[in-house]
Amino acid sequence: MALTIDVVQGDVHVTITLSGDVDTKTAPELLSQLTALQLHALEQLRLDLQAVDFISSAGLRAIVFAKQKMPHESALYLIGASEQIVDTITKTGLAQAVRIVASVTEI
Amino acid sequence: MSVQELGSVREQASMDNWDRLNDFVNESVRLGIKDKSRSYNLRLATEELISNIIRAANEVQRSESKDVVLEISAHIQKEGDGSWFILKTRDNGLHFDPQFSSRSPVDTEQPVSERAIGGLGLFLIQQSVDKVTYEWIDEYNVYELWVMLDSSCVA
Repeated sequence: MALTIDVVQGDVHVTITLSGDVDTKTAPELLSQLTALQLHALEQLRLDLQAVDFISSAGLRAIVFAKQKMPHESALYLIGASEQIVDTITKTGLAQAVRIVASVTEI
Repeated sequence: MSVQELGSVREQASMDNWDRLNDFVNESVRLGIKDKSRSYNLRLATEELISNIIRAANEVQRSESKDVVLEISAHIQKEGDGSWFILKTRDNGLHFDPQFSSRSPVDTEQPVSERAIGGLGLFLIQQSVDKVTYEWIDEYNVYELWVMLDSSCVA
């Protein structure tokens, strides 16, 4: 399934809304969008995953990349991830680095 | 023991065939496994395996005039009271033994800021299925991913 990526730049945060699968074929598109951001100066990154069905390790690596480039005190929110995606993030130990919320109202 | 074949696909191990290979996997999983969590995890493991095989095949195809072919098959095997969904890959790329049985686990407690970007793939394969085997047979890498089915998991 193709991946669509919508980036909205706010005053202090960036929201990236994804739709489709983040797999080996499509993760480079996400990485490219993340690389284009000023991650080193970003206070908050919101990844809206409500319309994402699948994230492979290539997708997780893109998320790890973003978090590593962001300031230590910054926050990376994963919004509306499915139970299976949360399970993958938890078992790989990445839950310690991100904030998992069901909807944007929890931020 | 009885075996129900679910089909197979055979293509050059290349990103050009990514969709065809993964479509076969997704359709086989849809036919064979009803449980959403188990089917998602098998897809996760298979995606990692196929991408590793294609990456290794690219090296061979760059340096040698040899096509690397990847064959994927799926079947359900009934043994006694239990059933298994088994997905098998076979490729003639570089001999690579992942040494699943002696592999050190990824340190999931390690802070993300200190992590290497790689290393998640093989870990995810092991974590996502009930059993994974590797053999080098007649110049082919052969992997099997086993997912245990109970009556509620069979589609």
